[in-house]
Amino acid sequence: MAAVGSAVGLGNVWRFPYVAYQSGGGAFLIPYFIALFTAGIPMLILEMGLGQRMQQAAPGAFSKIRRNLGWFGWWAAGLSAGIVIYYSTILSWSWVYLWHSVKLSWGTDAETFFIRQVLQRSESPAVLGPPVWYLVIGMALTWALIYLILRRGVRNVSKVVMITVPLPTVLLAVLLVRGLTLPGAMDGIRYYLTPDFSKLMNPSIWLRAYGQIFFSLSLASGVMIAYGSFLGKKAEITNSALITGLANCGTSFFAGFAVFSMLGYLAKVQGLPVPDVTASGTGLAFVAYPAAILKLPALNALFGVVFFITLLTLGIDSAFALQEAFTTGFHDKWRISSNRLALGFVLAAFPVSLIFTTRGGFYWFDIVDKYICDFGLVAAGLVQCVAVGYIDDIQNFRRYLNSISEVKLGSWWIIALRYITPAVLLIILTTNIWNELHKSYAGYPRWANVLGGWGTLIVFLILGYVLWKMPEKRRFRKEIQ
Amino acid sequence: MPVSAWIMLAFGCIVLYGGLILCLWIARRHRKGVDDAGFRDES
Repeated sequence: MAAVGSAVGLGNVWRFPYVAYQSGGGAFLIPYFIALFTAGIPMLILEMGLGQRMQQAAPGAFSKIRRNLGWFGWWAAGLSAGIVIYYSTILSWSWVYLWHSVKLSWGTDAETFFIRQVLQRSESPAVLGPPVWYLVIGMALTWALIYLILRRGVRNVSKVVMITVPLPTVLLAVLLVRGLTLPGAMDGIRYYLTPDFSKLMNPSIWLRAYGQIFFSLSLASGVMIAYGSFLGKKAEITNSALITGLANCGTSFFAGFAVFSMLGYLAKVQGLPVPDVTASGTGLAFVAYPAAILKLPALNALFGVVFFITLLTLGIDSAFALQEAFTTGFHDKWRISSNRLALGFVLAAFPVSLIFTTRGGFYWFDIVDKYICDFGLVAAGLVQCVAVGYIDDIQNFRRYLNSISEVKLGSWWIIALRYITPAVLLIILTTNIWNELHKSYAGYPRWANVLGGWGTLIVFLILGYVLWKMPEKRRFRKEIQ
Repeated sequence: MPVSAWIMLAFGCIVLYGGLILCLWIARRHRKGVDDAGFRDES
């Protein structure tokens, strides 16, 4: 359930519908399903199986494959720490919007409200300015919530996800029912589902489908390895991974109907075609959706509150899962208690996350997100496939998984992990590096991309090396005692 | 909606929700084993 909660997150509500619509609507679903079964589910089985087999989070699990790979394990887990630090920014915006949704403060120009009033965005990344006070409050609420959930460890998490997983699904269903009963909703649904097969010949659609699967399933960041490590030695892995992958993609598919029915309505009200009313990523959640809520015929504030509670509940379990992926490595190596780990991480991460609450913080959020997802996670996924597919004995690993699982793995799993997934990841990584060399991301100054993007990745490499090299003193001392 | 959109809808529902129901049914059948497995030893 916790793994499902980690996989089902904000990416299902705003990222999947946007990528699907940009990539040919229904035609996108074909590469998306192929990506799910050739990369997503094989990698999920690998990660959950690796954690369960080694009974360790990513740092310890990779150390057991080969000692030198411990550095990589810490780096991958460090990336998840990096993600949760900037991911908390989206939750802080959600808190602020939850407050404003009571009075529908965004008015008729939701985009200006988001940029000028909520973010108070400066003109460039060079102008940081002071933190915006209400974003700081939103950030503090987010970190306080994460601490309260994680302080009692994984058993507490398993209780929290019994609420945070079904609740957003129910709320999405409420939004879907409301959306489908609005005029113009079917235009949005038609746009969402009607395939444009000519786009299947475009390689970028396939890369986006694989990228969406990786992002959405929290792969390569050590989250699923950490959750796998919490399972007992007899726990079923293959079926759990299948449930996690299918529940995640089922939520994306479902959220697509809720989002596109609203967008169809917005298009009808504004007299625009559906493609012209959607914005990308954060824009979809914080601009297009508030605009649609304002134009609802009745109960606007109630649906505003419902939508932002949905975003918060979707985001919070992904956030604490990412933190867990990092801190479980500390527990494994130094036997530090859950409470101390949660408190220590929150106290260290909260001040760092305040950078994203400044007036220039949005630019840094965008840069860090781009580099961690497009370079860090893709590289981590590639190394993971090579480590398990070529360095470890993957045939033995498959026999182990089949011995504890009711659903048996065939040779397709090995083919996917040894050939298909690494090849796709290598192409994505090469394409991303090629694009990066030819054009500075989003037109930002080159120094900003180097500092915020490559700088972040290098910091986590160094941090990973330092943590890997540190001796397990406390653990030995405790064992001696 | 065009026929192709209905096909996509049916395809998505069968693969995702049909697959999920099947896996949940298998998990239910396997329930006892899962309960026995529990969490890892934290001591």
